[in-house]
Amino acid sequence: MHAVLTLYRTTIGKKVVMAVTGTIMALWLVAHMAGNLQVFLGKEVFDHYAEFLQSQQEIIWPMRGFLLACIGLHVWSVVSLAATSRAARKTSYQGGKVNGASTLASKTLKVGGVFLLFFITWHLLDLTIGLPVVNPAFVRGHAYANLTASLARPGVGALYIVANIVLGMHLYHGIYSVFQTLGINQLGDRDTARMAGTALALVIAGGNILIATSIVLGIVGA
Amino acid sequence: MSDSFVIKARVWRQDGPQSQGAFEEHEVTCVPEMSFLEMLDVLNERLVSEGKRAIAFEHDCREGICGSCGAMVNGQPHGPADRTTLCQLHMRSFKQGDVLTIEPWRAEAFPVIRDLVVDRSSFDRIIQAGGYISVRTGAAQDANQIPIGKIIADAAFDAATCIGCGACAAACPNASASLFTSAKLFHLNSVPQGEVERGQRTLAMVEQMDAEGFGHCTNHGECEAACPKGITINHIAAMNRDLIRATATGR
Repeated sequence: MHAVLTLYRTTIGKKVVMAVTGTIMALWLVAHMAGNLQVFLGKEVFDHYAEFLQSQQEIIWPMRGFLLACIGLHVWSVVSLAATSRAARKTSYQGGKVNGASTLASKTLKVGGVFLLFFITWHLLDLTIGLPVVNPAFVRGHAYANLTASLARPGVGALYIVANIVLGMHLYHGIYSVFQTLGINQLGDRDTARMAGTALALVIAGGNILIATSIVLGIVGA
Repeated sequence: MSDSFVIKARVWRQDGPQSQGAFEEHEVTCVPEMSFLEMLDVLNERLVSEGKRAIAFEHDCREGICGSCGAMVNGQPHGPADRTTLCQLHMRSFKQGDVLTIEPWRAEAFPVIRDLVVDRSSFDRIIQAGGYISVRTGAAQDANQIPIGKIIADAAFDAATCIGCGACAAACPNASASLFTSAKLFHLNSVPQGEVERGQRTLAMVEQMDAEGFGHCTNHGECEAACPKGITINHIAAMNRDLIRATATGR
């Protein structure tokens, strides 16, 4: 415990917390996406899958708590780190600064993260809680109908696609950063880190966008 | 001279740490063989002859190995040439009519002293926190008494080429000193002489880096792109790993 506290006191320790919680969330997202691909197998299979998940109450709730804790730690660390880096340069370059190596993904990591936080909240209200304002057609237990009805609304479908593009960029730089922060690529094998980031971004965001696009285009639906 | 040309230098002028600074414009006649600092010398000579205050800038060896010089030139640390310090940047990189915006490093841990000179003693304090090895001194040891493999020796030497100029922290969007600190850590931590104090050195230097008010690393790679010595962010990964190991195992 003392070791964890000593580590967390440093900026690098907070990055380690972000890397570990980020990896957990990314791996969970792979399962989330893979499970949801069953939407292509039809209403019955998908509803059965949803029913199966709901029947595992003793797993679902600890899982939800665990993921919420990951989000909490991830956000808590970045808030603290962002404050540190803002304080580290109060006067910006008056003559401007030329970009040397940053990517769109690396520069939009924080703002993208804020957007994802709002999206996750919306997503839960839409398809888990079924708040009438967010998803008027929601009927508890009808997972397939809820999903297709919600995303068939063009604005909502677009939101899911945009959110996954943002998620993809977040993963592209985030997973690359995991390798760097945990020192996995200390021997200079940066290609592996880039590939891992790219692969996870493509698999997770790609799979999700495939589902969303299919519903928007009416290929999958009621 | 036939190949001379005129550039407009837009230089940051600031009387002291607490003063308000502003850009001041001067035309300077250059020849391609001039170094960037020689261009400033020519400008300063004129300013002094006109009874004005010379532009303050740091310099020492003027051969790219001491780490004294450095400024932003058109938004790039040490100017547009790759792996080149300001003193080794030559005016042949510019042409007639170019406007060169010259500005000091910007970081709270590098407060401006005057014009282009910033106080980089924060780097010194990071070194003082652990950038050394503890040995019983005496007669110098024979060279190569401790055999070190070539790959490790070369890697340690690559890290040791860091001249501490501050371009990494200046280039970083978070004003992080991670590249500097990690290079200084790596060149000691990776060889047997430094291995003994590896953990405590890493923790002490990282804590000092944080205490100086530098930001954190977000892996953009801006530091690496700006470094005149080609220090890579692989050293940052090694620093992170050493820190995790040090806090987890106590060594």
